[in-house]
Amino acid sequence: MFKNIIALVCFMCVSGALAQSNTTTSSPYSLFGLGTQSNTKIGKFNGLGKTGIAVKSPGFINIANPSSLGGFNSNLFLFDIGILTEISTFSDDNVSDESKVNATLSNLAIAFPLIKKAGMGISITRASSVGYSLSGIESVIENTTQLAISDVSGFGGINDLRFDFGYQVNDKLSLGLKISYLWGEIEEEETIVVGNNGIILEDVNLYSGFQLGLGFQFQASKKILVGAVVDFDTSLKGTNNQFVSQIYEGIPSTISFTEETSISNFDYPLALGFGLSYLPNEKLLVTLDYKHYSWDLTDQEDSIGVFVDQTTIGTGVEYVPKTNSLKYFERVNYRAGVYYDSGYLEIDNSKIDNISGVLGIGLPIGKKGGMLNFSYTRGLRGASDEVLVEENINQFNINLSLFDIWFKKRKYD
Amino acid sequence: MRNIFFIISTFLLVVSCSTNDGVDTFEVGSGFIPVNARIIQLDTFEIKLSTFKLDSINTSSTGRALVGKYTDPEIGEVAAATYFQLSTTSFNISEDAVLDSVALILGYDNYYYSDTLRVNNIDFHLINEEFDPDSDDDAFYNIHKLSYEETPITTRNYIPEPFTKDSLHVSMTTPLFTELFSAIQNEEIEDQIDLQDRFPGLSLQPKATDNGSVIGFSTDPAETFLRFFYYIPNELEQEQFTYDLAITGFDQDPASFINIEANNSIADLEALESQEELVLSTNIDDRSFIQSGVGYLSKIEFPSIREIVEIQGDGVVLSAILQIKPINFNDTEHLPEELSISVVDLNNDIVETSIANKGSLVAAQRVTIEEEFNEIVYQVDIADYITAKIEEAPILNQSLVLFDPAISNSVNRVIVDGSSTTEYETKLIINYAVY
Repeated sequence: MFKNIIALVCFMCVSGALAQSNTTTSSPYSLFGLGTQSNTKIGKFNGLGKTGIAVKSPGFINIANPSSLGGFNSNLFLFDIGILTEISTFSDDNVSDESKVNATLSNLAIAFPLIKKAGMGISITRASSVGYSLSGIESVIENTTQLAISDVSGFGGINDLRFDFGYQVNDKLSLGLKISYLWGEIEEEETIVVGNNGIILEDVNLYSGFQLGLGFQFQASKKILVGAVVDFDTSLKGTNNQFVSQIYEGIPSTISFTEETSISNFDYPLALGFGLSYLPNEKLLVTLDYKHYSWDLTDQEDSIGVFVDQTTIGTGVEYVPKTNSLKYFERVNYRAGVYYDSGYLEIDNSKIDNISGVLGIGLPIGKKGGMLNFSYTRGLRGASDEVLVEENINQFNINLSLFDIWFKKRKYD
Repeated sequence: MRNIFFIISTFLLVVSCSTNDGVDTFEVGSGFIPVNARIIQLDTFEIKLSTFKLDSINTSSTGRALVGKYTDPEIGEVAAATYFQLSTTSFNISEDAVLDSVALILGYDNYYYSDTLRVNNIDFHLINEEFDPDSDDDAFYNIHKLSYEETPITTRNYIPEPFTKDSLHVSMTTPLFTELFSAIQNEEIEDQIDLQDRFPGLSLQPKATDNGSVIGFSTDPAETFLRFFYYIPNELEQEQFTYDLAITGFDQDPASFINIEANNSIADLEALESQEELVLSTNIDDRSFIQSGVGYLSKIEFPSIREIVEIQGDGVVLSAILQIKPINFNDTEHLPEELSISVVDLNNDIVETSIANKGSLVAAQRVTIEEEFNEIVYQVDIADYITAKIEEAPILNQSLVLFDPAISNSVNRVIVDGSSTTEYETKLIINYAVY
């Protein structure tokens, strides 16, 4: 018990580190809104096309639906940690093919039983990431034919500290509740110069807020499980600190520092999701998820584009040759999935959408059901029109899920 | 298992801080990326030009003796006269010396103003009062005069050749100087004080009828001196010697000064009686006058500059080029290479002798804009001054004034054009970064 508490404390410290850690994107699209959404799931669920709304997970942390924690094994304490590496190539009609690499911690999560038939999960993941750096943007100095050159860069993101509660009402039905604390810091720096003279604007925007969600899972038949989730819309409050510096003959000097100005809230929309999972036999699991985000209702605007309703669809399949085999390779999980995100950003009547395919593998570790999960996702974001950028994304996820016995009294310590 | 948990946590804690040094920079065409800050150029600020006259200018020991009179087609008559005292440190002249001749050698210092093809006249007068400014600060001003003998010692007319000749030779073999030579020789004059009693100094005056040029002579003892040529007779030959008096000064007081008298043909300017009065450019054909020696200064104000914040919003003045357009000048030789800038208060008293921009003192530089028929303007970046003007609270009624750096020993004049006719007009061009 004591050691578990220490484990929890350790978890908190590391999750603090996660919050400080680096961005997971280099996409110029991340300057829109609060950055690019990662929609990353925990553990094996990335390998299943980010589905999970209708997947029961007695042995895995499934943040797609809080009710999946209902019926959590009363003895197990689960720990999950993930690393994400993203290699992206960007191209558009003007310049082709620039390649960027980002690697970071992608999630930390623990889950444990609360009372009989109820489980709780605490996880920290990245809700959105900002990471862009663009240089050489030309603008005409008003009333002249001279050009000023701007560089803009942004860094940071929004983190999601989630508390999931799931309760198994009866054999068929589980209910769940999630409370998310969303917070983060996005730093943006903009430099504009003509010759050696200009200004630097540094804005540090801090956002924070809570979001509530509900979910249920229902065993429709022996092989079919359905689930639904709702995330309620919420507003993140924003505060801004701004530094303004002047550059003269290449040397900067601070002009002003404005602290703690309120900026407009960032609204997260109402989201509704439905999922289906089908287990034709012991070896196979097929999943299908659909989720709709009502960005239109938030009535928000951004300077470069418009927020539009977003739809995500995912499907996945998992194959385990023989779960309890003595042969190791027969216990390995094989996974494949497809994920489509219509995007919430529309620029010049073009939606910035995202499609990806994923292959994954899960290697059992230890005797208690731990697993080391690998997945490789190949995705495409954006469209190569006149001015927009197309991203080819190669994402590698490594994820470790570990189990331990919770509340076990040891006779020999 | 818990141990593994701890180990992995610690490992990843370290890893999470070390991966990824930051975001690489894009060069991808990014036409859709917005920029919050922008730079605009504004040049329609109202400029209020005026002219005022300094009560006096300190013209003591400027290094130059200025003499001449001319009539300026734009601004009227200008007459420059110089007063100086001559001295020496050695009062030994051989008893056997025989005076041959005396000459005043005036070394040209290459300064001239107006038409040097005409004949100039210089009357050389003996000053007959003590060479003493008799003022609190022991300095002579352009309005000063010392009393001198009405009849000149000698008169010289000449056509100035400041570049082809080294000096102007003026013969001064007169009783005044032959007697002076003897007095030193026989020790009637033993020191500076005796010398000054006997010979307070010379005043070089142009003739009232002159309309030629104003010429500068150096006051350096190596260039300008009163030379006594003598010889010492002996059996074999007559060897020539010289004995010089020069403008070196011997006490605290200055040894030379310039007096300027002017008759301004522009009635409004001639009517200025004291420094705090001024003449708006709009009253004199959209012009403002800068004249050295006489003391006219051009004053510049920007009445609407504070509106920049109201109209454009928060921003930073990146540069504020003050462009000054001179008109009606003959050639660039007479236009100074730079105009000095000072700050005056509402009584036209100078409160700051210079202004700085980004840590260096600045002056308005003469710029020839080649492309446009050799248009010439003066330009200076006064961004710091403008920023201070926009931000000042309370509002100080201070303004900029422009003048020729050679204000105390020349008669250069610059006419500033205040009308808005061409691209290269007098105006303030501000590059403003708005955010």
